[in-house]
Amino acid sequence: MTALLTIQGLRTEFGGGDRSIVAVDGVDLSVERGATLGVVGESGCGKSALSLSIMGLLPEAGRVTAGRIIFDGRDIAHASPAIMRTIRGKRIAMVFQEPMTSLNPLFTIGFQIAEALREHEGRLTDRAARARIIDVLHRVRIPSPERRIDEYPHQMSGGMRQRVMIAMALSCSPDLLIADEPTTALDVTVQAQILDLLGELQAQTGMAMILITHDLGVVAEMADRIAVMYAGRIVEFATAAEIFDNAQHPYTLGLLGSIPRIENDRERLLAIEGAVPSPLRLPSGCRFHPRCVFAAPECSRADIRLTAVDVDHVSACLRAPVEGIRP
Amino acid sequence: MIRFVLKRAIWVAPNILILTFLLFAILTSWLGSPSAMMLGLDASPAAISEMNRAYGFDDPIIQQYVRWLWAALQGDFGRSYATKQTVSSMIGSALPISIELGLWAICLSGFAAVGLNSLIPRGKISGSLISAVSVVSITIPNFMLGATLVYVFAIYLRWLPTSAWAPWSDGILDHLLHLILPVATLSAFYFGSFSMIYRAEYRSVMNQLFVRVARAKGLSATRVSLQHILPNSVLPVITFMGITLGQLMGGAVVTEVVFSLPGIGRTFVAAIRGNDYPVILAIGAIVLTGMMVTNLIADIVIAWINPQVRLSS
Repeated sequence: MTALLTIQGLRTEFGGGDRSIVAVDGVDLSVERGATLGVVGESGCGKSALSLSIMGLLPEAGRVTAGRIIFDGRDIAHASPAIMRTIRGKRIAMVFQEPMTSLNPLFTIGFQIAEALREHEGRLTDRAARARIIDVLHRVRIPSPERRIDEYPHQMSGGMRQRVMIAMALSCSPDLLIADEPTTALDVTVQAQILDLLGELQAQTGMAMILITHDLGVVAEMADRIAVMYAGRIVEFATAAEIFDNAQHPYTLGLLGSIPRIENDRERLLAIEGAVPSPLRLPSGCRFHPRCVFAAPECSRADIRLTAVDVDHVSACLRAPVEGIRP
Repeated sequence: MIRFVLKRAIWVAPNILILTFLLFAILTSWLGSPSAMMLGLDASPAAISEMNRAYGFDDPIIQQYVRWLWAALQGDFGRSYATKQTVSSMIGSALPISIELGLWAICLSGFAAVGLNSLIPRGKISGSLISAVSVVSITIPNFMLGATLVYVFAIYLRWLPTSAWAPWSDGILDHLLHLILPVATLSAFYFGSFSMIYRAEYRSVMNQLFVRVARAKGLSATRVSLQHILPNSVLPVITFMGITLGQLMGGAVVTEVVFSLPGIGRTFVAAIRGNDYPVILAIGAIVLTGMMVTNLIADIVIAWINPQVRLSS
């Protein structure tokens, strides 16, 4: 069976000429139908640029300069706006990070969901559209949807607005849902509810999902496979179980919050030291080596590629497997 | 919504009273008595006090104001000292001309500024062209543009009449043909300001997340622009259109002079030159009231667009 979405050698750049910034640098990924892919990394690692590249929603300065994005057998990396419009919202839907600003303040939520329906489902009577919207609001567990459908965004809480966004994304039964940090802006208790909801809806509809987050905890229960991104590249890609039990990239270990310090035996570190490098001054060799506790001199010289460390498990680390060098 | 309108409307009346009182006080006593102004520098004190007594200029200012207001409410603004006509008949013929000219110009330039900037993609050559036209239209003086238009379309091409006002009774076509050049001149000026205000607002709205969400639904660029960006960026333009329309009730002096339109602007200038205080006062009061009312209408339109205002009151 072929994957629903296959990304090959994707390169996304912002700006032009000498000062262009490579936000996504040679990314290969795939998502099977009905499966969940977690994409994990710190802010600025290229996660959002990746999702916007798939949607064809890059801002004016951004563009895909290499690679292919094959969705359901067709390369959409450079598809025409007309073709992308038939895919966006209908076949690939997206939920964004900020529910407070995701909705237009001037229109009711019912109207805003109806827009997606009318765009993709052809002629709908007002009554039929309303019934569909109430049904989808019901599915995302919005209480009394018959009343809420006529409310404006400012009358709703952040959690409710994110449910509306999910309802909007689900309204046309997409094959793929991209959720870009869907819970980051929400309260902790609401985060769990939204994640549960996404999991349930996925089980009901059988859609595939790309869950983008900076928090490995968020994808722990939901993702089948996890891609860890650093500075525009994928540094580790494996099944969720492998990532949690057998991470082979020092950055993943850092994200897991369990990286052992070499000089301090058994002391646990909760943070990765240093900051994500500026995309204008990327380190040579392995882009993580300046922050890596395992770094060896060759890490700054070699061109490091993803290599298999196990079945269904690739890592871009010269020193993998890291068991041998663990203290 | 009805409560919002009432709440705003209630404040209009006291504002008009206070402002017209200030205007009245400034013109009739704070800047010297009208008698001294009308009789000129050579007038004898006896003549001035004689006239003050005859016209009631010695009475307390409040009493004079109430007398003026009471008459004004019944449509009687007194007689012009210069033309001896009743002020209401002078204004009655001039005001509709200025209002019609103003309405055409504001609506046309407002719709053109919002429409063109929403539909033409920025960044393209056509987008840059609009910003260039906006700057040029603000900087070209009205009299120059008016004279140029007259030369090209009336004298050289002979497509349109050079000047003058054709009332509706001359036929709709004739009326509109006479309006084209003055309306174009006035619109060109306001197009620049409206366009710049709208562009600035549009630019900040288009970067908002809900615009990206709208595109993520699969909506076309045109629909995203008209349905999502436009209503969120048009509010300052509406406010400015309201203020401008109110101002234009005082006449578009330059345009009226260039095209020999007997509008309120020319009446106003003549009254100021002749110290014709009943006319100045009446036009001042009408402009004041007009601005309050057009502002109120602009606020109501904004509340109607924005549910946060509409539902919170």
